[in-house]
Amino acid sequence: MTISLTDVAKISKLSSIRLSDAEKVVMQTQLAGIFSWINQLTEIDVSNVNLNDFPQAQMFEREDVVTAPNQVKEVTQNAPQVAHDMFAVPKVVE
Amino acid sequence: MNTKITLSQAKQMLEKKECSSTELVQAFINQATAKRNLNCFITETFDNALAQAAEADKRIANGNALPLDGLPIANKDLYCTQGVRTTAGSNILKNFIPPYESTVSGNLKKAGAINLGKLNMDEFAMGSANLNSAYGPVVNPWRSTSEPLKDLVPGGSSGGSAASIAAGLCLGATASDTGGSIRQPAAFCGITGIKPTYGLCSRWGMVAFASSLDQAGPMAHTIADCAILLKHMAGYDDKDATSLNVTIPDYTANLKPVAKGLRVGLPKEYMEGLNQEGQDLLQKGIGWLKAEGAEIVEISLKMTSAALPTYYIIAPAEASANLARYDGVRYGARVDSVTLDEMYQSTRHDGFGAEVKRRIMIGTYVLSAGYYDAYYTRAQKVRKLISQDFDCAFEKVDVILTPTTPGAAFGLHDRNDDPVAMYLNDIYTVTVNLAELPGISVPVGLSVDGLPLGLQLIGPKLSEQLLFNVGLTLEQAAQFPHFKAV
Repeated sequence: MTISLTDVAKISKLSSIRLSDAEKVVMQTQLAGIFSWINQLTEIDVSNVNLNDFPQAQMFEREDVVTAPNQVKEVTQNAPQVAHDMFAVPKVVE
Repeated sequence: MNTKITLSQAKQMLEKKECSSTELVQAFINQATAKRNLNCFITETFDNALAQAAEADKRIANGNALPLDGLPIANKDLYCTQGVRTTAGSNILKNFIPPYESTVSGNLKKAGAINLGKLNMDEFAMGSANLNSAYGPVVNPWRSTSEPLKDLVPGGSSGGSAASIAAGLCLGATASDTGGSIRQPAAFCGITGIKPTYGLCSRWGMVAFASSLDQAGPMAHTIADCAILLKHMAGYDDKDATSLNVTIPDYTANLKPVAKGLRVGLPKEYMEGLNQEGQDLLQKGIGWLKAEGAEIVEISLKMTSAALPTYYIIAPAEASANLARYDGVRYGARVDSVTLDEMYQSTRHDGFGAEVKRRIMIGTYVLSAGYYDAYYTRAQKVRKLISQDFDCAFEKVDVILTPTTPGAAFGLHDRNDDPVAMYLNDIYTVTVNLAELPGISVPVGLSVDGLPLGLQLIGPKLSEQLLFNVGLTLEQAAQFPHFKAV
């Protein structure tokens, strides 16, 4: 299979990573090479593998209790922009 | 004092009061300062280390020494360290100062170990040569005999951890292994590194790459050193839902060379394509184990060739989800823009390096509508077949012996253009992560060019003690020159 520039543009949007036109061309070449290598997996017969036949290790759940209240300063101290103890982002409502 | 000592030797020196922690820490700081050209540290915490050493000296003098008291180590820069910058090798985290400590680095701190700083690594642990760090490449302290002026890679992604130990900048280091990132750099730098069973060490506070594969582990000069460090890094943690609730053995107390009656598997698929130097090294390992009474059994791990392509679907898929958090809102760098979408896209364009962007794109693609089953579901099924391969093998053998890498360390500028060629570095290590098994790399010889080569031992889940003990048999037979690059 081939990866088109349209595919690259779509993945770039889904990934929220801006790519210039030149970067898209480089990415197209590299992804095409990687996927042509990955596609060797299509030769493996997995018809007898049912993922549900393999019980996943049981993951435990923590008790739902408050352990660290009032962490506003710690939570926001690394934010690029903070206003009124909240994360500030560009305006999203017209 | 010089830094040509192992962690075990330094521990004994402190216990016998042959030196103080302050003297020990100062010696390693001096060496780290003299070897800044290797670019091992992203952030140095030398002043804090000396203050901690003074505290350790007081405890030692008062007879209240902690298990690792006063021993200078360093942390891979993906372990969140409270109040100390943690970058994961990325520009997007260049100013991130965690308000909390990772469980693993915290465990070592509680045991008295002293952190000299944060070690360089491939960005978000994505790489096999430490060439993908936003803070520049790490240089391997080893030099080839044929081209002594050529800078070599230390391997990756834990390149800073491996190079710093090999160069005598610290006694041991934390590292992490998602597809070989402990074992491959350990082999390239002539040190020992163990990737434990998935879940043995907590992932809490480790910057995530691929959560079903990531595992913390130690690196150090010797097996005994790694045994000491792992004992204090591992353990159940209710903050990591995949943490194993098992008793951690006293690896050091139980450490003894083991080989007699041991069934050692040699996977025939690992021999195909292995160069003559690799074949010779493997034969040496076989000889050493046989001489001590081990039985060599040829086995088949028929899914071996499928492991890397499977990994390059599953790991990027998980990475694309894990790295979605870097959006310039809650922490990390931001590129200011007029709209929120533009801010996300520009932040991630400028903040991530080329390899990270590539893997996020791969992961996003294989998880996208229309491709999920063809790629992701199929890869999960092949992963099950890989695990089954090992289950069958461990019915016949106790451990598996393989090379750690296809060859010795290569030049900093030798092979950087083709991503797939770089991915093949992990061909012998990646199966272990997919099957959640432990694996250890032991330095056992030198290439014709005088560069370190390692052998890997793979065991069933929770067989770390067996790997240490069989590894010790190899270590004692190999008589590797541990301090040649110091």
